[in-house]
Amino acid sequence: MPIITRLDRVLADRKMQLSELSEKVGVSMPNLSNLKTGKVRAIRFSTLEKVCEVLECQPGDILEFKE
Amino acid sequence: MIMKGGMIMNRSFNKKYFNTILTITRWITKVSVVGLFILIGFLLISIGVVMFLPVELFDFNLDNLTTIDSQYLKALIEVNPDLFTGIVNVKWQLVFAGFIGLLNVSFLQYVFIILKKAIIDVSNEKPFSEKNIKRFNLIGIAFLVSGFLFPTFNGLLFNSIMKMLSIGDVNVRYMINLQQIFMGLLIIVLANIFEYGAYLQEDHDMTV
Repeated sequence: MPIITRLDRVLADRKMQLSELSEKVGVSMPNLSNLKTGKVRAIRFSTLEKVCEVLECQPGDILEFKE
Repeated sequence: MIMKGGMIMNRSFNKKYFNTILTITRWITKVSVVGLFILIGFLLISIGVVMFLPVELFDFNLDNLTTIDSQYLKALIEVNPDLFTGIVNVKWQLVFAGFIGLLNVSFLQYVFIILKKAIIDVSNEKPFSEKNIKRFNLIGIAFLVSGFLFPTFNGLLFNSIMKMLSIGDVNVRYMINLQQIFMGLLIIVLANIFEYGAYLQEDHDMTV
């Protein structure tokens, strides 16, 4: 898939665990884990908004396009 | 309009009404399955009894035949007393009619059992499962096959009765049951709608 997620990198930079992010964003651990490993098919703007808000980053920091 | 996850949705879902309908349908299918099993039992016993009784017990005097109650024509037909005379033996016609009845009831039972399982899955909030898609496809195919098969057997039975009554040159027309065939096609369409639902469900589940 051309869109890859860099969530693990951003989480490491912010020194945050996935469980903590899950609690703050309100998305389940399995779903966030799928997002982290790139197994999701799509992400809602509302979810992306909450993740960026909690991690204090831009969508481009989490998502990358690679041909 | 309702709000969900910060988004405005134009559709709402009345879960209470849906659950009520599901409960009623579940009870009807449960009772039907039990009832049909009892009916199948009775039919099997009846066919067995008729098969093992002596042939002579099934001699029927056609002079006693004054009316024919036709459920198909929804009419009580008065019979010309000169038309049917003599004694005929109806044992194998009874067995054949019993077998056709058994086939009809078994078909219904098969449909109800599959439907019962499908409704259980829907009640457990898994309506678009792979199993449900296969179930609806099977029910649709069963209806299609029965639309061709049952009229064949009915025609054969009717043919046999006509020959037994020695009416003369009677041609039994073979006709397919269009209602059942159309029902089968509709159910197959429904199965494909469920398959699309499964695709949408997966798409939704894979969306974070």
